[in-house]
Amino acid sequence: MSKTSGKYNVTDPRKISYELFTLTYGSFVMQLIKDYEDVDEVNKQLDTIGYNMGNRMIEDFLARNPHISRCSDFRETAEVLSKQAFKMFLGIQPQVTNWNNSFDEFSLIIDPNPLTEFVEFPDHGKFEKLNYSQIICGAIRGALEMVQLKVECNLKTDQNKGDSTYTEIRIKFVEIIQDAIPVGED
Amino acid sequence: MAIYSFFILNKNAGMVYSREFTNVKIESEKVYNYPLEVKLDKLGCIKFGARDPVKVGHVLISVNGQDVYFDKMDKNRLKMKDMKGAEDVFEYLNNVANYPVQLKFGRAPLTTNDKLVLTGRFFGLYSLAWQLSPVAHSSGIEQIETDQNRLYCFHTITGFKFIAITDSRQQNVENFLRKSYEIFSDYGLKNPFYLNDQPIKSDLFDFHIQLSVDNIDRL
Amino acid sequence: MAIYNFYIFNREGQCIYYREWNRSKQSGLNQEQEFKQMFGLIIEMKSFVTKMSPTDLKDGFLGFKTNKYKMNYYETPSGLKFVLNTDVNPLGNTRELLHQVYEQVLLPTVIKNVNVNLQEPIKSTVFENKLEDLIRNSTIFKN
Repeated sequence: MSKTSGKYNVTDPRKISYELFTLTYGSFVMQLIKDYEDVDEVNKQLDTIGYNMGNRMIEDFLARNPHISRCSDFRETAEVLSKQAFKMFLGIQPQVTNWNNSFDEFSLIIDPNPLTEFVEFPDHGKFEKLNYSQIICGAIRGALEMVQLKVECNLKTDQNKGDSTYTEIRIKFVEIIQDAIPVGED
Repeated sequence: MAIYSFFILNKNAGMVYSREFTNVKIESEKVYNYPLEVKLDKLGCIKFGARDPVKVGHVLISVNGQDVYFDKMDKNRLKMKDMKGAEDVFEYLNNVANYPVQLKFGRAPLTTNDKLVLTGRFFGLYSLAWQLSPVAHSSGIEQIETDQNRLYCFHTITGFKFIAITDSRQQNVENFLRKSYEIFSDYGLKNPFYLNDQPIKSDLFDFHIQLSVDNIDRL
Repeated sequence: MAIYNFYIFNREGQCIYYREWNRSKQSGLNQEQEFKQMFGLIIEMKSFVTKMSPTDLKDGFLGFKTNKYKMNYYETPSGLKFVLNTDVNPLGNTRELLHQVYEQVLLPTVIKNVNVNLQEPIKSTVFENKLEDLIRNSTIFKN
């Protein structure tokens, strides 16, 4: 989600510096905190912004990967998400893990998380509830919704929660969204 | 390469003849543990969570070897027979005590009724294609294409439709349909005992259709 | 001159773009009704072929032919639907052309433009010019 590309060529995406990207995101989150003054509201905003990005990013992803078709199960979704989508947009390949028994819920482990690489949370606990990387969850939810997969997507651990140094995103399958049917047909 | 099936419809969308040539059976059986990883709709059709060879769109055929069916007397609930009589399939699958279960999924074969409904729907599509034509004097649909197979339709001036469903790679289907029109006029219409618009039940007709299917590449 | 007209539908079934080149017959319906009919045709076709097919399909419905024209269909997994009506034997890969419309025209000019609401008809002239370029330079159009 860092880059804007002028050329539509998978092998040659226009790149920006890693530092510029994390710095931009950091300032952006701080500005939201300033504007909303409420951590819950900031989490919500980050999620919505991510969602709106996901809505459009999925088209970029599909346009450049014409051989990807609709997934038939969640393991396939996890695979495409980690090995192709994350790779394309963030240049990383999160680990897919912690499946539940019915294979409709899994975790993505992002280690290291490019968004939080230089971030250190203050001790005073004011930002304890902040979901710093929530934008990624929103983007996943927004993108999958466009391919008719309704999911719940939450940050389970982020740098400011517990002592983990990595980010864990939990993704849960909710339902398949039905195709729109024209009025008068059943 | 193959011709899968062949139909003749009269001008009132009535099915005069229907025949299947290659019996494609797509079924697979697998043992599942609780909780069930495939997501089914109320009709037992897989919406998500299918792993090869089971595919999204397949329907539940049997549970532990017992065929499932719709109970028309009981709100069309999906049921299966067991020792106690009949049991609701979804209640059974939701009970952890019944696991592991062996489930068979597959593509639902078309029933005669399905065929009647589908050929009727084809009539609607046929005229819609004509109406939405961007050029004048267009016919209705002559061919529908998917990534795996094709439907060919030969329409006679008198209003009969000769339809074949084939593998995408099958050649010469148009010729086969024209040939089948000849066969129809010979062994169907020329037979004084054949009543117009009634289904054709003639061994001679069957025989000659089969012959031209077998020799399709040489027609 | 073998491309007649072109439709794009969004996931909700709304026609977000329409353009015609060498169309010689109108449907006799007003435009809104025609869009509805076309979308209805697509949905019905998709369901018809899945039911009728004896084998499992991957991409499903790709189009149909009459004696006068060919309807070429391309759908993205995200539900955008493209319809291109050409002559019966287009000289070139129509599926490839429709994918190019998606990747090289719609994506950069409309989808990546955050000011554009994807639920509304496309009014971008950049989009229109790029599309016109791509279509007019395709082998299918020229032959």
